Amino acid sequence: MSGTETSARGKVLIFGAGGAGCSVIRRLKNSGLAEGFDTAVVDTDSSALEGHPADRCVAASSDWILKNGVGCGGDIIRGERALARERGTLTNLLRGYDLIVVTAGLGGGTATGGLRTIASVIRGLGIPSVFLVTLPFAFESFSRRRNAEACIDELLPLADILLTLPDDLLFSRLPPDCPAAEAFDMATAELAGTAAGIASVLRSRGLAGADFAVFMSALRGHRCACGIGTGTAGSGEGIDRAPLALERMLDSPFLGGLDYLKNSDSAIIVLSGGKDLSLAEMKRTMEQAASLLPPQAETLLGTAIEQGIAGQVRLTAIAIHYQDPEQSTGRRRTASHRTVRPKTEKQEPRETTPGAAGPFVQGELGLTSFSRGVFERLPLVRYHELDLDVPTFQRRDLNIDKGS
Amino acid sequence: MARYGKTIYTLIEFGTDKICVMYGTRSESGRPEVLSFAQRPSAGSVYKGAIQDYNAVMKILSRTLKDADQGLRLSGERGPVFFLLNGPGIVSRQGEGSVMIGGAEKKVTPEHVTEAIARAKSLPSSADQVNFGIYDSYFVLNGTIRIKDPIGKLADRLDAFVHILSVERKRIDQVNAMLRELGFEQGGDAMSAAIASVFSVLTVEERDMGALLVDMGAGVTTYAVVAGDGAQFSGVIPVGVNNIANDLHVGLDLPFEYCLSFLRESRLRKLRESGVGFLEYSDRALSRQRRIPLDSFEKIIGERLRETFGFIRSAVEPALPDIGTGCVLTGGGSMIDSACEILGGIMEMRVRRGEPSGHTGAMTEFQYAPCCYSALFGMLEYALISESEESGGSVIGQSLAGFIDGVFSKWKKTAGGLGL
Repeated sequence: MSGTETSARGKVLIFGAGGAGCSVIRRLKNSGLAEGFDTAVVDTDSSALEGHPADRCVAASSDWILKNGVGCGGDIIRGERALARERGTLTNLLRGYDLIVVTAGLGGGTATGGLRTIASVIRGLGIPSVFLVTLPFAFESFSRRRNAEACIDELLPLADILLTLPDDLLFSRLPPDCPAAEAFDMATAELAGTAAGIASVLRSRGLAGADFAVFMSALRGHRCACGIGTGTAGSGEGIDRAPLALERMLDSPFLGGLDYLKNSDSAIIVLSGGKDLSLAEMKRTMEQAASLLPPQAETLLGTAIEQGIAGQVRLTAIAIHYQDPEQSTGRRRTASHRTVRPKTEKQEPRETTPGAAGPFVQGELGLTSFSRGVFERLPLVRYHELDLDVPTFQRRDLNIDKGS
Repeated sequence: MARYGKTIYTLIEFGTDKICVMYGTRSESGRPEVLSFAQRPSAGSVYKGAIQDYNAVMKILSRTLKDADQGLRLSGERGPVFFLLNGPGIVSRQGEGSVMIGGAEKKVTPEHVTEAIARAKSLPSSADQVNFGIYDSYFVLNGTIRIKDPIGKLADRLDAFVHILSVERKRIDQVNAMLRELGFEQGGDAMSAAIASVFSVLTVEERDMGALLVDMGAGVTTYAVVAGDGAQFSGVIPVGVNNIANDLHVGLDLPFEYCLSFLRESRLRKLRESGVGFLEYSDRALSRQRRIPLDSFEKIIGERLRETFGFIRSAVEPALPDIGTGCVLTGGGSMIDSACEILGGIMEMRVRRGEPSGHTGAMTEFQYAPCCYSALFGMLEYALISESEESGGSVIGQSLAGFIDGVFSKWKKTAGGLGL
């Protein structure tokens, strides 16, 4: 493996899954951002892996028997099956790392179906993991969005940190006449920069509040949408590099703009610098960054020293919008407030009336049939208004591969 | 049949999977000793710990008792009968009673403690409910200082907290009627399965420093938080190993019995260790071979366990600061490979698998899966503790107190509360 840095913080792997994940790793390698990290990719489309610059490539077959490499065609069951088949290979590939950053675009087949397997392997190996995934644009099909949401539900209990970036955030920074191809290309570039930035921060020696545990405390087990921005400035770019980095961070397409940051329920801001980072610069920058955040939000500010960015400062911001009802109120969470609430039956679509406030929510007919299996003729026992004899995966509307 | 010089206790469990009878006593060394054991499948007559078919249960119990009698080979003084109550419908509450400490010295006396406990126990319940277990929780002096043993301490006020378990009267009447028909004239004493397992599985340190016990059986999962010198929380969730097997049965189109054995034999772990990513299943009904990804099994099992343990986490949330040592998982569910890891992740604390230990006698039957009988063993230990208390500190009682460390010796069960 090339590019391995065995620093005090250990080995870090940036792992791309599926088409978008492969593109992100390709961008990382080509732009030089992957310096100091190992990279690997897995995909079911063998053409996407041809000549791929990643250190390791895993070609997963979406077919049990034919072992072809034509991709999943958006079928998540095929994606799940393909990666499940490569579980042994993945285990060998991922073993030995101290941190794994997995990046992927949700909505397709390979990543949406297979990320759970990757998460399960990483968890089995006991390696800290960060999953950086994008949600499809709103204009993409409903089924892609639904599959992406289901994948997030499955990843939540397995991933240590799950960062979910809606592709729609790009609209906040891109002009309406921006070509679509350019928008997708920019999404890839931004995701690559973000993945490298997050990996750097977590690998670095945090001076104050910038370690893995801080990220986990804000993100572990919570369903949320994130905006992530990074801004870097060097000493040669002017008198005061920190405000410049802040400005660039706010311009990051995946941050969603200043409004997205200001309306967040929680935010993590990390200032990274080399050994030349001074106390005064640190204080001033963090004060400026903190002033951009809403007062009721839980704010985690940290500083980290990174070996690879001498003469530069980098600001990384994660604006977290919780989607759990009890977390999205903006109140500060403490240990005593943390709860793991059992999920209820599938949420009913919100009732909307003409003129009522709030966005219109498209209803969905309840066509899903529930089966109680061997409990079919036995008395109904309800618990918290739930019929727990109906399988959990059915109540949560999860796809199960029955094999073939 | 040889004559045995000690009291023989009859312990009965009406499980969703099996009906068990154990005869137990105290060994010469003062430890719980199993004299005989028998079990028969419930065959659908018990559902989620509650009796569904009285006549069928009666027949099965009668045969199981005969089997146990045959294995006994001893006769002796028959002590009380204890049976496990389980399933939904068991309500647990915390009772609170206060007394003002009078006199010039303001010293708490045993009378104050008795009165405070009596007031705590007098929590009203509906006419069709009956309290079948009342256990000391803890005492508080002057509304601020939590204490194990308040006697002799100085205070203006003493608050006693007790953990009260109640159930529909007819459920206890039903079992007692059955026992009388089978020749047990006095009926039996009911005990909560959650509390019973505490006696057999938790160490003295865990009971004292605080622990969460989760007992996942075939039909239901029970839990109890013990800390200091008593019970804080207990409850029942109507989900057990059968639910997980049913989820696999529904989700993967596999026979229910096959899924049960898949779980019990830890086949997921074995297949993972062998390096394969799928299960080869020969579907005889459709005359075809299927390759089922192991991830599908993992996903279904994980979803169910996370949901169930999430319910427990929500229920015991207020008691989390009291759980100083961690969680102990027992019952058939503890044999599921990922169960301990998932419970630890949900509760955010250390987890160990709990098995009854320190018993002697006819233990052959329990070698394969002792964790499935934690409640039954706990009931035996509880019976022996009750005997020690009644004997008023006999030699045997002292040796038992040494074994159990007396932590739970203050736990009182109010037979009078049963109204039998």
